[in-house]
Amino acid sequence: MAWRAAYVFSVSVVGSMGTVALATHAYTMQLILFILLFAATLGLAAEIMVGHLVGAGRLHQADRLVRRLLGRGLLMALGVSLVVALAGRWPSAGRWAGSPPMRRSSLAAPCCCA
Amino acid sequence: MGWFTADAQIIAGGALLLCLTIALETSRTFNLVLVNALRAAGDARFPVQAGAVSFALVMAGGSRLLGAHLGWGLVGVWVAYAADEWVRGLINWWRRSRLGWLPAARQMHRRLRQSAVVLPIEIKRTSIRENDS
Repeated sequence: MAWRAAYVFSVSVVGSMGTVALATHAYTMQLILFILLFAATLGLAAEIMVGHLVGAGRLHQADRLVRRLLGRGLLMALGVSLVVALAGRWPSAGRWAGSPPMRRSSLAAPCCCA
Repeated sequence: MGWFTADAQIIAGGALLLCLTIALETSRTFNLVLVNALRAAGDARFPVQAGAVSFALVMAGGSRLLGAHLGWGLVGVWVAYAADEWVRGLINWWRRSRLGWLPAARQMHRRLRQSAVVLPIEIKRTSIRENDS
């Protein structure tokens, strides 16, 4: 609830920056939700495994498990977000060349020369 | 990003935000694992309280301060998101390291052990009732 309220507030801040900022925010969030799946899966796994160990009274083992999951989770998140960050740059180069302003300028050049 | 739109400004902005996502998603994963583990250990109140304060001050306040007041734009909002995740993650890490979750975990374990003792008795009672009928 608190997260949702803070998120809505931050989106209202983005909305005050204009439609381009709002569209960028919305599109990027769509991609980020895919990365979030990995984190959510690991979080749920941690919850089930830690709950099981705490229920069995193996508290030291639960603590060690959390530390191990944190290390693996950080590596996994770093890898996935790096791939997404690189993928976000990759198609943009092709799109820039094919975007309407660039197409207009590339069409305009021969006309100027002529 | 090119799948969604052909607007060069949006694609460039999105590519920049996806670079900032490296800081955001690593902290989010760190945080999700810690919060879920604390909750599973019975220490649910602390992450909720820390989260509520951080959401209000760092996420909402930070996005307003960095994005609107300081004029960083979308980058400022994203920095506020990442800062919120890192702040909560570090607070929850501190809680884990200081073993603040231990009393709640012990209490939960005790409660589970008691219910495990009660459970066979309940099963025996119901089986006796079934046999009687």
